[in-house]
Amino acid sequence: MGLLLAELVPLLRRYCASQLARYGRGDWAEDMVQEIMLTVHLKLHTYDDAMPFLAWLYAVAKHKMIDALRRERIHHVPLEEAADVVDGGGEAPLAQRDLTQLLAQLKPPAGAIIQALKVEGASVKALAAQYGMSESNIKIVVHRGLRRLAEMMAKERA
Amino acid sequence: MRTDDLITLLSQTPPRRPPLRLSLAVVAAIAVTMVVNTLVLGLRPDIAVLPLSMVYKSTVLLALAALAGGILTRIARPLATVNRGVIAVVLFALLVAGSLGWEWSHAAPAAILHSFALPNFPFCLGAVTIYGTLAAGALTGLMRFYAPANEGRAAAAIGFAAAAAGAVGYSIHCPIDSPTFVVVAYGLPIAWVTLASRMLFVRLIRW
Repeated sequence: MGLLLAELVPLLRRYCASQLARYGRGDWAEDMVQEIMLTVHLKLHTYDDAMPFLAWLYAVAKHKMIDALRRERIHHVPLEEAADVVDGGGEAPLAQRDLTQLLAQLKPPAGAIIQALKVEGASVKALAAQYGMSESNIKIVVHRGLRRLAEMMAKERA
Repeated sequence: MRTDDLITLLSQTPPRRPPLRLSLAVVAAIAVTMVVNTLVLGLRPDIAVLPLSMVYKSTVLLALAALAGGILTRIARPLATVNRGVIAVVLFALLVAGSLGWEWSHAAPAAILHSFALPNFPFCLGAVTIYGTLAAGALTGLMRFYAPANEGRAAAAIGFAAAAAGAVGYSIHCPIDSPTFVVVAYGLPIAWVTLASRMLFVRLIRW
């Protein structure tokens, strides 16, 4: 059992970090891993030998994460908190990464807008005027761009 | 606690004994309701003769309880698959539709509807609801040891299985075997216990 759990930890860490980061709760990953391991220990009898084990494990992990997010009543990520997504749970601070390189990989003009809004401190209104988009569209572009950044970082970690 | 410490702790803890199987729990619910029903309400007067109509009714209700138990067992796991359950539901619906068609083509509508004017009708609605609700409470307690991915569906499946078990238990008292009566007088309480369980017991399922 110990061997199995030890093998699962890196998988669960990556999975929890990437999923929770989408909700700005990347820092919950380690607690969540522990909670999932406890559940695996207690609910192993619900595993059906005919089914793939990892699918069962990820189903358990997904349920525990949804449960935890529901407890905190987190249904969406406010734009102000979305910046946390970039941090990926605090394991790798943004400053240590080549931000310019990552932003350049985003579909234009998302990288430039995020750079202007989050790094240079430009206002949403000014960016909307500059790019000929509505303010809501600017927020959507930023939100999607940050999520994509988090995914890229999660992939990089993996 | 560090994750490594937790791994060490869990590896030293023997695996938990699996809880009572949900299918067995449904069988137990049928047995308990039958015993309670016999002690409280008594058996139907012609049970010793075992009329063919009673065999039909018992077969239909037992098939329903088996179906509900099967769905409940599958839904209690994180990777719930109920594909075969859908086929079974369709087959069961065809069986019931066939028996309803046979009754309405062979008996006068007044004779069929007469059974709803008897005191058995409200009594049946009440008894199946009470048995079903009590059994649903017990099954909800057991479900906490399982891991349903969708608590809402699990709670509905609990209500369905519990009410079906209650219906089987009560059927040994009720002397009316008309398929139409069985569908309405047993179907209604099964439906509302399922709905009530989905709305109320869902809050108690946490794992």
